[in-house]
Amino acid sequence: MPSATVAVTGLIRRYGRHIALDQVSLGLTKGVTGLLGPNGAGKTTLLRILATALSPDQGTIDMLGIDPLTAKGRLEARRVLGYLPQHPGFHPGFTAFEFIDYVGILRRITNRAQRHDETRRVLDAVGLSDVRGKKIKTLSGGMRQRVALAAAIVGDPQFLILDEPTVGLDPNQRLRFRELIAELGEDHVVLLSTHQTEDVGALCQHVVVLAGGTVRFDGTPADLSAYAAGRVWHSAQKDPNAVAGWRTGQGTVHNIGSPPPGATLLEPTLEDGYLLLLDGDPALKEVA
Amino acid sequence: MTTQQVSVDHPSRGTLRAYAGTELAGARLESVDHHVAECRECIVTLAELTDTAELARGWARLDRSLDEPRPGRFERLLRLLGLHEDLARIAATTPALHASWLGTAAFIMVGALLITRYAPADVAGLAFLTTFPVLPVVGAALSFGPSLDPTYELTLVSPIGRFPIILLRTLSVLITLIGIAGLGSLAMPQQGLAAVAWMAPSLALTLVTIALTVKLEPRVAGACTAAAWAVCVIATSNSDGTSVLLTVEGQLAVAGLVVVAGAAVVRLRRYFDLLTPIDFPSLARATP
Repeated sequence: MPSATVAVTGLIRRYGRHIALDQVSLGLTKGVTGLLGPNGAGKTTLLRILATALSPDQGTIDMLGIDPLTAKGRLEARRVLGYLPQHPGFHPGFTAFEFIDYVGILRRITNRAQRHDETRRVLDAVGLSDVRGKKIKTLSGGMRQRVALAAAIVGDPQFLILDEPTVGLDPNQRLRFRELIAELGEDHVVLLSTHQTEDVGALCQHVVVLAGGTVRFDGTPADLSAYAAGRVWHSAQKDPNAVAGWRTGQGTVHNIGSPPPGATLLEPTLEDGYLLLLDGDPALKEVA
Repeated sequence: MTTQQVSVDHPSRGTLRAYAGTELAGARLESVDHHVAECRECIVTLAELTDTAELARGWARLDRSLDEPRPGRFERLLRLLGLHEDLARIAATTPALHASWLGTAAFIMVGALLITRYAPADVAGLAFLTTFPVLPVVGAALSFGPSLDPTYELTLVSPIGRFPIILLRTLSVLITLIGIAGLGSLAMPQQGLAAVAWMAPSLALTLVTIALTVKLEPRVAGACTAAAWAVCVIATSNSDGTSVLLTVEGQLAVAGLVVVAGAAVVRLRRYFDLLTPIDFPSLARATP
């Protein structure tokens, strides 16, 4: 009986002298896990390793009971995982239907009728049934992203790896996309990377913060917010001692850091927790 | 109840079915028509019999046939040649098989043929020998790569694996070109060995290119192979236009290279299955 979890231990990946992932360990269960981190944190490297596109230099992976680091396990893993790459591309001449059908071929659904049924199912799941006969190049960015999500769920893989699925979408499309992902999280193990804290707040039950190739936080979104408890306050002017501060729509300044005595404390948000967590991070200073 | 007024002679289910199927005519049709117009019970029965499921199936069939991807000319040809339809689709999506590329290849071949025909004898045979085998190498280099195949990452992590796809695509490019070149060599002034001397090198160089893609980006691998071939032709040629490559011994040596390169490709096959670090610069470049 394969376990419905994905466990990663001690993952190391180098590119030349640069260490992209340094001793990364994490566990995923059913539901949506958000992988949060600044650019260059190693998110895509981690997702590519999990998607079997890349192999780690060290470490072990248990993917629903499969070891994808062996040649045999890798093929098995590819059947149980669905991957939405960071920059999904499409063959220019394909319609949405033809593209998904092609992905079905790559996923070795050899029975044509069955494959076409599956194509219709996934296009319906992402709400693209109406445009299935249209060339992908004529579709909007949001629709293309949905085509890519449809491609990731062909054959109903139990482990979904989504690399920045909401990037480039307008608020409306993003909302619709979150709904889709939340639905998938009901009975799949979903790992999505993002650098948007709103995405995590809106749909993740579990959040992992990756920065400089290491895991800085692993817990619930509430815990991440709580990290900033007692360290968020507002004031009329920007507090010079604050780690960060910005004027909000209400006209006051939202500060995070070490509040002065007597400051009006605010309920911390996920973003506050995330920013404080990454504050003073040497790896981030490097990036910035 | 209306049913009571006409209950005396309800048409049998069989009659109603025939009526629904518009199989009745004349007096019988008229009497059933009359009855059904008055009898609610029979209308209900009739609705049951007018098989909605069958109707739905009919629509679904129509819908399906509209969805059915229409294979292009090349795909149809491959299927005609006996290639499995799924493999034909994969081969047909080869970037290098796009009309523009094939057009260029045909143009170069015609050019080479013209040289062979009208140039002085000392360059003619050699121009042909240098150009022709390089074309499938270029084709192989353009068949599969992060910057050329828009669905590269998706293809890479598909259960079908990268190796069979590389083989399938390069071989279909090779066979297409051999077809074109074969027709071209019929127009060669020299007959015999000189006219077919390009064939073994085509195969050998293609295999060498495939083997090199384990460590090199396909385009770089192709360029290296092509350059090495040009050097090889020049080094083995004499000023009078004869070349050891145009002799039986030379051809046997090339045939030896085919075997060695083929064995190398087979031995290296598991390395094709992962994204190599070499792929990374190009993947990064592909990002907008």
